[in-house]
Amino acid sequence: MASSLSVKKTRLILGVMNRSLHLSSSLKSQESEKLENKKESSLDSEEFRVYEIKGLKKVSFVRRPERWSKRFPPPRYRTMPTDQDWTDVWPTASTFKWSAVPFPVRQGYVENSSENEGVIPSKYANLELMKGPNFLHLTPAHVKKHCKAIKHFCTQWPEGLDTDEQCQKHFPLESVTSDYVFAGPSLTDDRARVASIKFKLTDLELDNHARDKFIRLVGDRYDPDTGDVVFESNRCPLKSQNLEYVKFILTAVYFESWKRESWEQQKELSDMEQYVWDQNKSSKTCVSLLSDIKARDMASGDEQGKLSYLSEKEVDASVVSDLPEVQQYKEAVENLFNDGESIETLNTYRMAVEKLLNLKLDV
Amino acid sequence: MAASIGQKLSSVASRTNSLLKKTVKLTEHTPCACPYYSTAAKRLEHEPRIACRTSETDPRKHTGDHVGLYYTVPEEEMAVIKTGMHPWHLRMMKSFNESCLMVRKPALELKGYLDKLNLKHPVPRFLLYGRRGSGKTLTLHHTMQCCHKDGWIIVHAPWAGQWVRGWYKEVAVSTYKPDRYDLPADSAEWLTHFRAQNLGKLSELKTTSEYIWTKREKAEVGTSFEEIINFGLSRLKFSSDCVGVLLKELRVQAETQGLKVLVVVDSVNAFYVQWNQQNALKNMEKKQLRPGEISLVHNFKKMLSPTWSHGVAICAVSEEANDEDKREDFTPIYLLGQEGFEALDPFIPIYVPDYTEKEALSNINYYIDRNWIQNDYGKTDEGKRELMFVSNRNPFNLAKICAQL
Amino acid sequence: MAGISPWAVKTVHKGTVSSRRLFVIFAHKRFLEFRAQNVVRLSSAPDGNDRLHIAPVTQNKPTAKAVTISKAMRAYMEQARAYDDKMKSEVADFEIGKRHLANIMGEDPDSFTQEDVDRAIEYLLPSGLYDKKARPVMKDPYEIFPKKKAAQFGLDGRPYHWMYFTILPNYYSALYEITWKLEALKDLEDQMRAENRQDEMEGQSFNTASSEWVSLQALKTKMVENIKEKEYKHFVTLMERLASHPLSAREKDFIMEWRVLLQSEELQSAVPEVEVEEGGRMCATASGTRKSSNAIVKVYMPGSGKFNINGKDLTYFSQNLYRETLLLPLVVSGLLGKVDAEVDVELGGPTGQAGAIRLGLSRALLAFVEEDVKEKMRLTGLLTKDPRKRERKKPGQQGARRKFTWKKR
Repeated sequence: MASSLSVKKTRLILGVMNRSLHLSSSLKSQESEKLENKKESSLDSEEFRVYEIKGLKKVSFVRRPERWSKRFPPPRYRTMPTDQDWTDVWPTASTFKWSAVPFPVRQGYVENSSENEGVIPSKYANLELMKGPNFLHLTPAHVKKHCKAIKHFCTQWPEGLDTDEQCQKHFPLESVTSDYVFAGPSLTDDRARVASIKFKLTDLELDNHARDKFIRLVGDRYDPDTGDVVFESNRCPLKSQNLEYVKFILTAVYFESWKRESWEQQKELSDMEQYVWDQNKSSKTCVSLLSDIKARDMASGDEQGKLSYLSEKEVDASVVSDLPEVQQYKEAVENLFNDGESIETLNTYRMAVEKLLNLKLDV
Repeated sequence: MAASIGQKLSSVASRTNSLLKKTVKLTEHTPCACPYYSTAAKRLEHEPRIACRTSETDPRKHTGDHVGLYYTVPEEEMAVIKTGMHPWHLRMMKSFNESCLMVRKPALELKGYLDKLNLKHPVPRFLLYGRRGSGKTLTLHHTMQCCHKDGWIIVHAPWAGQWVRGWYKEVAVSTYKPDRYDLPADSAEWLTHFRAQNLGKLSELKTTSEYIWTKREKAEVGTSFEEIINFGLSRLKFSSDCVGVLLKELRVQAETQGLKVLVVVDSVNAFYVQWNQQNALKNMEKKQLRPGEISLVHNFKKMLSPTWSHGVAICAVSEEANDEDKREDFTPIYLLGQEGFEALDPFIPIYVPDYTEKEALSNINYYIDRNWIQNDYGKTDEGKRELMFVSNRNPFNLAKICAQL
Repeated sequence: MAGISPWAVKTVHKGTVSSRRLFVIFAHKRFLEFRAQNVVRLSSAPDGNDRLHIAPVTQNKPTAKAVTISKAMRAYMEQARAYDDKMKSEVADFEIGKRHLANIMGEDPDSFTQEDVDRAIEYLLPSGLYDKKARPVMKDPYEIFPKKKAAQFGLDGRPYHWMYFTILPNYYSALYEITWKLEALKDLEDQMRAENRQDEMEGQSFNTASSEWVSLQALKTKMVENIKEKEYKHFVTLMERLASHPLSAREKDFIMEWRVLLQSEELQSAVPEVEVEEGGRMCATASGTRKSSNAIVKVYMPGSGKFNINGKDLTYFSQNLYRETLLLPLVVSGLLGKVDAEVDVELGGPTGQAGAIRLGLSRALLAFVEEDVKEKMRLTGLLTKDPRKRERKKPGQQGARRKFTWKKR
């Protein structure tokens, strides 16, 4: 039945258009059928065949039940109002779900028009979008809700701790511990037991010797650039034990650095971390040179070119080192060694020596 | 910018305008004794004369106005400073067919100090420092020439590094003290150099004490320096002792007789720092020698200590005299080490900078004048500026770059 | 096929033969008439989308004849309707999606611009993919979906374009236009020569230095036609011929339609901003890379030629070669001795560092030089990054290319 209908349809069109091969062949077969019928009727003459006029007899159609197929409802985002509360739609972290995301985001690299007709793949079943992380659970609204939820756990910020400097002043010791949360089966993490404390070396009460010893004792835990000391421990099984332990270390090192052992007396000039002029050969050379000059000045009795600042005083190591010229010289030498050589420090040294020896530059 | 430099230079030139006219004369009548085939230094008549010289050949009269200008060292004085000069400089001077030095600020500073010096005080020490090739050695030469004119006795160690390096040289146990070592050849060489530098002044100087060389040979009181030098040169075994005797006599006589002594030591850091195992001087037992164990160095160190007067010690530190791993910086204490600093302290450090813009321009002009730069682009303002940039105005670097042009 | 016009086709059908030249002239006249009647837009449709619209401005006049729609037209119309419907729904989705996105980000949906959309997408769906084209996007559907060619013929099946039957009407009409422009120029040249006005012709030639011909891909999209390599070559040859004519500067606008500027836009964006420091000194900062070295160069103007490289002056480079490397940009820009530079350079060796500084210096100097000097610097290659890098070692080989020594046993 269906085929005959289609034949009729094609016929209509065929009146105008060319006949296709398939259609013409089907027509031929119909005509040959009719011819055969005629032959049969002529042979079989006992019973007359009743001529059935089409359309007189009612034909009842039995509608074939439709095959069951899964009907999908329209995606969820179609029914979403644009002023909805997004935190209800996407409450927690989850993989990208195309039907719940209401904006037509696309992802995929399309080289040219030969790939996917030049269109970037849409979000529907887009693996690329599902693979990557998303922050749909951390929108500003979410953050606000989270903050609101944890707010009543917070206490008020103490007064007088408005700036970092104030915090640093009142709480010089900073301890750091970490907690780790997992989605995995184990709740423990090795790193959770690590505890560290940090403080500025200047916050400790130390004299020159103790400071030096402290630095030597802590080694690379002291950073000379920032002045920070960091003690870290993971040797105990518990975090609290580790924290106690690093505090104990601080105490121990502090008191140890104040002690003076007998072998510390053997410290030599080359062990010094700073150049101290008074202990070095430079001071002795200076004193002997000045006394020599004074002796020569006295001998010659000549006023010109004399070291004027030495004239009356007795040349003695203690007296000499108090002279402003010598003080300046001392500073210059110490600078030279402690701050490092540069044209500037060398020039200050030169000026100091000029004054010390009464050498005048005549340009 | 270049125009302003040009103006500065021309203003300097106008101040020394009268001098310039003399310069013309001078260059025209420069005696050219030897037959000379090079075309490098011949002046062409049509070339513009560029202000890069001063006719003030007396280094004592140089002032700040002369900074950056070249002066000609007269032939007879050249003979004095020649022996201590680096062959490279001599070669350049030969190419230029004249011996010219640039007046630079450190030399003027040294001269300024020397003029105002109280000679009765213990010897002041001056230390030149600066980058490689910045002109420390030539500054020393400038000062030496200056002092030579003033009648100073010059004690000059052209390159102290030579005495501490062991380049297959003869090392003998000292005849004076058994724990010291002599360098006969080096001592003899220095004696010749000393004699050449102080030509005509040594015959008047006599020893003040007796020196016994061997059982049979000795120098009586009143032996002239000339004779001591001759003895050292004929008996090489005692040449180091002769050096010691001369230096000691100079110290003594400077104190007592008012002799003016100028001690110049180039690359003085060689006296204080150890050399590496390969290149260091070794004794007969292949034991590495410390610089202090060498009698020459020992005697020169005495000249640098402030125990005597009527003298001046001018030293220069150089990176080349240090081991290769200790050449990162050019500053004195780094190069001298703690020991060297303590030996020389307190000294006046004098920085020898690279050329200023004016000096560099003057140098380039001098090279153009001497046909050392023949490339036409090198003679333009842009070319000069490029040369200054690439050489970073370092004198030696500039000379090296210009050598290719 | 290039010169075939409806007129020519008709004539051939009749079997009469006239001169080809005549056809062309006739055809050109017809083309001009056609241009006058119909607005041919090769780019920029009124709605802002770069879709090609070739449609007569005056629509088909109402006639008494029964309108017959050709089959091809009907198929096309169905396609077009489907496309339009799809685009409409996509646009609607996009608009609603934008409002949703604004709501998610807690912003006002009415003033939510495309920039906001991009930012929101980057926040919500961050992606570290190297190629930016591979990252998530949300754009206007008209930018996502490729353009479709509009109908080329009316309801009656008659093509709008007189070169419809050449298959590539836009391409061939462009060729046609070029040819006619060239002919006009030739005529003008002859005329000027006849009038002895050769001196006026000097400097009238088009300068090809700062631009190049559009690529094949760009030409394809511009014409919305599937142009082949051979045809592209033909096009370029013809354009070259026009551009090299001594009077070609007169057709500058036309020629520039088919050319793209070389880097000059990049150059515009690359010129660093000039900041004024305390004391009235200007400074500009730029960065450069070479091999594995990175340099940040700060140039001060006016200056005296001082360099500060990692706290040192030019002695930072011990060899003259490296200083010469730095010299080049200063010489080309003519700023040697007139600027100071402060340089932070890290990683790599001296060659790489010098190269990195050179590139950074050249870029920074752009802020202080004239347009023509910029062009000069570009042509010198100072602004081009040297892309060479150390080649990796390969397994089974001794180095990047070198093989192990072959030993028989």
